[in-house]
Amino acid sequence: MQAVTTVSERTAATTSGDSVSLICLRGDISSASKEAMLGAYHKVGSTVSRVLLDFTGVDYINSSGIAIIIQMLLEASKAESRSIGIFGLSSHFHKVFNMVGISKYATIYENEAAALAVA
Amino acid sequence: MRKVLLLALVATVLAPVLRAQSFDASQWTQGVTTIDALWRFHPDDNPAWASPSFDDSSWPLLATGQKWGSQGYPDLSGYAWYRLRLKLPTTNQPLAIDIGHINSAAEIYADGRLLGENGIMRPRPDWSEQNDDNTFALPLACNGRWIEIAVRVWKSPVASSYSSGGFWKHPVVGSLPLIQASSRIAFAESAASLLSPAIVQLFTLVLGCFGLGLFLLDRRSTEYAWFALWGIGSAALFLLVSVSELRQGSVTFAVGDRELLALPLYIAENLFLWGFLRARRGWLFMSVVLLDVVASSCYALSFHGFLPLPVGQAILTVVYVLVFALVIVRVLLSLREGSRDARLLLLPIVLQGFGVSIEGARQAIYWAGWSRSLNPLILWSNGVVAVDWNDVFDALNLVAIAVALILRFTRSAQEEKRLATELASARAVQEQLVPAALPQFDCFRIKAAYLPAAEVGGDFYQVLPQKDGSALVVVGDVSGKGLRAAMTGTLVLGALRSLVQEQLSPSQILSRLNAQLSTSRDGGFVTCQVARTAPDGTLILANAGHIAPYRNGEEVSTSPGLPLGITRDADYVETTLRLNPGDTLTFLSDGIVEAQSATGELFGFDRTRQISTLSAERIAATARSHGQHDDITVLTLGYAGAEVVHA
Repeated sequence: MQAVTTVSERTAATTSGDSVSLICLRGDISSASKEAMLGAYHKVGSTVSRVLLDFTGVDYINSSGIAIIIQMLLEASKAESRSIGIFGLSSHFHKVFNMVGISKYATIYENEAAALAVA
Repeated sequence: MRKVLLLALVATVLAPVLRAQSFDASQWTQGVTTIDALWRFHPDDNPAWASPSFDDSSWPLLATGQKWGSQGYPDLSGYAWYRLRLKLPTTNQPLAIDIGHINSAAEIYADGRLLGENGIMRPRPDWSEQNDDNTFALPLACNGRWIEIAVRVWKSPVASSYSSGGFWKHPVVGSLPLIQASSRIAFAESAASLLSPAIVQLFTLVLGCFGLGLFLLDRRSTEYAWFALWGIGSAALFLLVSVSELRQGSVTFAVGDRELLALPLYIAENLFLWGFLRARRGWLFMSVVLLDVVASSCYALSFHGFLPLPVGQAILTVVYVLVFALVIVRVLLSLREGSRDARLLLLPIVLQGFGVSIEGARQAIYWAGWSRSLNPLILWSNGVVAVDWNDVFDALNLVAIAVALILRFTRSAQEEKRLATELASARAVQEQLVPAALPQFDCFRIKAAYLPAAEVGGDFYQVLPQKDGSALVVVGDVSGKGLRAAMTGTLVLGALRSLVQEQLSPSQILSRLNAQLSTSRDGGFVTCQVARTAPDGTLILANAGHIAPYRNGEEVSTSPGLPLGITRDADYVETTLRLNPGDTLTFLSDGIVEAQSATGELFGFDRTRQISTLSAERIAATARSHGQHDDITVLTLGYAGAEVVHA
């Protein structure tokens, strides 16, 4: 049975002291996650230049979930001053994200510390 | 004068003593005579106390119109004896004695001879149901004589807190046919008191059978099977307990053990509810089951003396209300999730709520000491047949559940019909996504395996021979499921066939397909891989988000590209390989890497690579055995070598 997606937001500071927004995802990501995910992304202030997507608590992402993530990344790519980072992916989904070209639009890190170190 | 007064005083003092252990019924002529006398009474047990020659003159005196608890023995349980000398009338008619209710069970002796037992005394005594049939025929030889009536009573220690032991009313003696007739009337009244709950249980049985019928019509909906188990089981248990009650069976069984026997039915009822709501059996369900187990066990144990009876009763009452509250929470959660089935359960739940409230209040009033009995709250009675409020709400609840079942089944049947139609359409469309037969090439050996998932998916593949002898291999997957995914697949293939005529490169084909899909699709995407293989072994690949192929068991490195249909701006980069004779390329869909076991474990990329050298059929079969959740497509292309072309 598919687990419901829960999304929470927080801010964190990079090692260089800059503030970044973190969108933390939990559960399974599917078409049912669209509203929660895009809603969280749209809540991020327009002045925020760096957003990190935390997939640490994500168990499964189906093809519709990947479509939502790509949609979010494409939207971000239109805002020239904003960049997206991703961390916490399992090795399986790390490979899937590379396969579908997500790595062209977002940098994928191993974990939060690595993402904040270079953010 | 003083002498007369003294004699009068002695007569007054001795009168109860003289009348105490004797009652003269010899003046009886017809009907029955109430034995309104004091009996000799002694706690404890001794078989010799049945003997007519036993001297009981030192025993205290007790009345029979009230239990011994109100006569100085409030906490007495276990055995006790009553004795009385009774003078029977001189008559040829058969006589009998009716000792009425005895709490908890008793044996009656006449002149040391056992006449019978009231309730269960042998092989060991038990707290027994009382049904007014307590008539014992007296031997004809006793008529016209003084006989010694001895009653050996056993009071259940478990029932001490419930009520005290002994006679409930005065025994009567008289004509056997008359007393038997009176007992039959009393028995009929006891049976009639079960009429109201029996009607409810009959309805429960009918509904249970109805649930069984629904399950037989729709075997996947196991909630109907749970409902059937609950309905039929409840009626069967009621029958078992009612028979026990009417035959002076064990209260320990009929009330205490009944709760344990009912436990599987409570669990079945909750399995039905959760199934009806299509809710996950998580912590809420487990809590309800656990509470039911605890309450039923405690209640049954209290009837076997392991817990005080009021404690077992209180636990049962509290859990009863608590379980109902958790069920309400489940229904409300389902309502919040937009469940239409939850709406159907609203009325039954409200009606059950009334029943629970009344039962809870009744129990609370009794255990708070505001009421001396746990009698049902009677809505209507004609003196024989009574209808209590619980039966009314149970009946209304059953009607509401019946309506909910009918509405849900009708809706499900309509939905199933619609889905079956859509599935048939989708299957028909899906058949167009893969070729019925693969074309033959001189220098390529192409095999394919395609295992559609139970739910129609959107995998597709085509092998299209080109004029220059090369083969154009296209493998793809439409995201999503059902007719829509299958239709998108046919759209891709339709567009592909027209593009093939233009002799485009793989990346150009993907770009053109992407352009078409980006304008026609709303959400979702199509992953696709296009490979053009020339007879000399040159292979050009372009990938739109699809799983890269494997070459002799190693993944081919391809430039990642966005799936088709997401944005018109996607670019597709080609990768060129040179195949050697004997090389095998294996193209796959994500149905292999994302095959999922029952525990949720993905088949994954590592295992996919390890089996990528197997035949297409074996790769597909291996993934399916792991746990198929999506279409599985495997296409292998073996390169035999350019010399074959010239052979």
